[in-house]
Amino acid sequence: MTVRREDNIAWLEGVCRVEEAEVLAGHLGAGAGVVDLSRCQGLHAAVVQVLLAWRPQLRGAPDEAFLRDHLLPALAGDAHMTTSALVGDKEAAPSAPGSERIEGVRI
Amino acid sequence: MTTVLIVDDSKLARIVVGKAVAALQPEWTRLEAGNADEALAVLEAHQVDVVVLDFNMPGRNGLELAEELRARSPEMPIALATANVQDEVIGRARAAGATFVPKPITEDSLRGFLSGAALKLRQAGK
Amino acid sequence: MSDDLLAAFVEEARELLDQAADDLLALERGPDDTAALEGLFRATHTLKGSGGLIGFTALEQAFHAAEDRLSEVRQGARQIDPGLVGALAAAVEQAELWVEAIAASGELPGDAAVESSALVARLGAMDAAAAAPDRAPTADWAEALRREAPGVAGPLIAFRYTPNAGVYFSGDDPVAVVATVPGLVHLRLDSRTPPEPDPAYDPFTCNLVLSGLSAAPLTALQAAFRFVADQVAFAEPAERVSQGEPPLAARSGTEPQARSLRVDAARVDALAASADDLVVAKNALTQLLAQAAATSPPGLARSLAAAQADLDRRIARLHETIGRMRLVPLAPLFRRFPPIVRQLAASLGKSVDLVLSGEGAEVDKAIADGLHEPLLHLIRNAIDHGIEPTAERRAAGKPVPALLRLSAMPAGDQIVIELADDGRGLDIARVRSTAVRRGLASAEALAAMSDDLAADLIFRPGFSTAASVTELSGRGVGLDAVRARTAALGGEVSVHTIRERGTRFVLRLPVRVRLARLMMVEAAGETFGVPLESVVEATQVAPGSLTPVRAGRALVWRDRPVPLLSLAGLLAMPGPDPAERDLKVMIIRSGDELAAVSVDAFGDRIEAPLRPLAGVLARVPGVLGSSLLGDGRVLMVLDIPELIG
Repeated sequence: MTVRREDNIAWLEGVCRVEEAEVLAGHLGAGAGVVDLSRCQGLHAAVVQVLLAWRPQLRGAPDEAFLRDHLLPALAGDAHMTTSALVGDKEAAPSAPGSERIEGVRI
Repeated sequence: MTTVLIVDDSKLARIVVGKAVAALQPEWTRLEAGNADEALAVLEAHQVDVVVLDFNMPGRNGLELAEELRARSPEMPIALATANVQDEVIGRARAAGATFVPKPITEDSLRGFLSGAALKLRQAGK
Repeated sequence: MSDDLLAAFVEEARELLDQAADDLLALERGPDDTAALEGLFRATHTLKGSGGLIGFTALEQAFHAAEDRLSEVRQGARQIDPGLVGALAAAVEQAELWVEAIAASGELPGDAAVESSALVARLGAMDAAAAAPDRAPTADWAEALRREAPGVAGPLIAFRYTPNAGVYFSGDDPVAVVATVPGLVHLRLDSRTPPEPDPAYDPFTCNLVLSGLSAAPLTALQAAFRFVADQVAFAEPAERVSQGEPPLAARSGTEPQARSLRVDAARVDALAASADDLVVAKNALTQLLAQAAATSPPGLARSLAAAQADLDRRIARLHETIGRMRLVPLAPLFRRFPPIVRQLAASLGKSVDLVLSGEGAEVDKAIADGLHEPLLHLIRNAIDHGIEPTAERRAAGKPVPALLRLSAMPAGDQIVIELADDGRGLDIARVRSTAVRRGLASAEALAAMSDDLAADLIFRPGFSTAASVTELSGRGVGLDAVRARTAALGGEVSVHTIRERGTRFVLRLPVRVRLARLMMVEAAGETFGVPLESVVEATQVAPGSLTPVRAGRALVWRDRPVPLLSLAGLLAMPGPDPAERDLKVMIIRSGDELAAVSVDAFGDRIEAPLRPLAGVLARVPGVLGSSLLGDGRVLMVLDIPELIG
């Protein structure tokens, strides 16, 4: 068992496999608002997508490098609910005419 | 009751795969076959839910067998175990809906496939 | 070869290279300029031919690769893009250096073959990129991703992986697949359809879109995704101008995402200094506000606090933005080392190949400048002590030349720089015996140390002394200087070694110079700064709670005995006897241990930019750097764990 719940905190511990996505979704659906990842060693994609769907508050700094350096920052990323920005919503593009953006400066 | 068929021409390899399956899914019944023809015979005689095939086998190889099994049973979870794959094989295996499992087979390498298969069987009400 | 043939070659090559540079500039402005394309192609073709004719193979090979790419453009199989322009510009620039070397000495420089194969590899990588599926000229999703990772330099390849809905059932784990992507610098997760978190939510229908950026070549990315090739798209977003290759010109308006300005470094530094001063001024204001708040009506105090918090936030953002402007690629620093390595190796009769990677990564200019000395020291050390003489390597069946790798890898807001040799590795037994001899650790302490901890002793001041001073890495300065310099830049250094296999030094540094959070303390009549990270608690204890122990005094803090030291004593400055009155102590964490350090008084807590010390002060142990105070005083910032030693 690598998903357990205490009050409103769901603890993900060790390597969380595909089956645990359902358990986690159950906890989040039943009111757990915080997910603690400090002892997590890995997350299956199904678990990741549950976190992305419910967007609970994530806490804890796991040791595992990919999780810590890439997955958590991506999960914490803003406004990733839909793919509109990704597929190139022209209106969302930040280069409005007349506003010259300095993207890089060579020194 | 879930039944898994392990197809490999090496007896030793069948034992190794059998042990890995037993460790991950102790409730499952395990059947074995040493080549494609034997495998088809087992399938005639038993209800099989999941198969794990070795790619390199004398006679029909694992990929050809996977394609044949897929034609008979569109939903059955099929794993193809191999140490060395070419892109062409990957394309064909994916078209046949088979999951690659790297050889040598271990609990870790088989875990993903068996978890997925268990989920699928559960959702299908088995 | 006759002199007049050589002279003719040089003259022609100079003209052709001028022509090529002009045409490249024109192509960059207008990729459809066919006259420029034809001119560039002809120049490239001729340079390849004359290089081969005279026997300058490096030149011939580099321009052969360039000609191949241009020929694809002429056939319509490829577009002129910034990546190609950059690679061609690099070839032209390199050839200019070669031609001048030939004009001076009649020969190509010794490293021409290496440089040439790098150019060929770069131009060849364009080849692979052209074969990429879904390589739309400007994939919007890829450009959007690229904008999410502005701090990362170098050409990056974007991927977008949309797993089929049923993949979980076949045992695929898309996250595990992405975890194998080499050179991953940015990851983004999206839901394919907006998820509805309700009891009917089906976690087993894959709804993820995983996209990201990698610094690895396309072929390596394709290998990582080979089992799911049908579900992945790749694209190469335009490279930013602030990176590796010198741009031929400021980008024109055709590429709104990659617009840039050239700014004199001194102006950026002046701007950064102004921002630093602003932080200092803000800190001065903080003190005044605290006084004012104490005597003001509550409503005004609250408003003051809110205004101050807002100011803090805005100044932090300004500092951050300017910090990003100061980022420079590591390439110029890294490229200083190959000739040094050649020269050092030759002087010792050793044969060493230096392989650079990741030099496109960007760091604060101060970090790049400050790294030269420690890296040079480590490189000297590796060639001098790490790498065996050629005969010894041959006898041991090890490859000749030896391999020295210098690599940089961004890791979040840090940069990890590694220098790895394949030499003989550290002799840990000798490190241990040396440490005992020099009194750096007791025999018992050493016996309890793991090999890793023992290896770390080489960074202790006093470890390397006259006995190990050699012409190269000696000069009486040990690896402690490397650790001190790295620490002064806000980083750390560690060593990893395997006997007979090699030694790897790992430097972890911040990409940007950060504001240090400091506590001011007074000792021996002076004010010092102590980084808050190292202070567990600042507290006051009664003299009665002290217990004498063998070597000095200790106090009991949270039921633990903690040795008591005085800061004045640590700094070898005169100070009052700490036992006479109530003691103000900082509980300091030093490694796994705690120590109590007494001070005369505690001052304010401030945020200030930490400047590494320069010159003779740079190697003073126990000093991290300096900060400028609001009243203009210079605050020395102490590394108390190092002082305790």
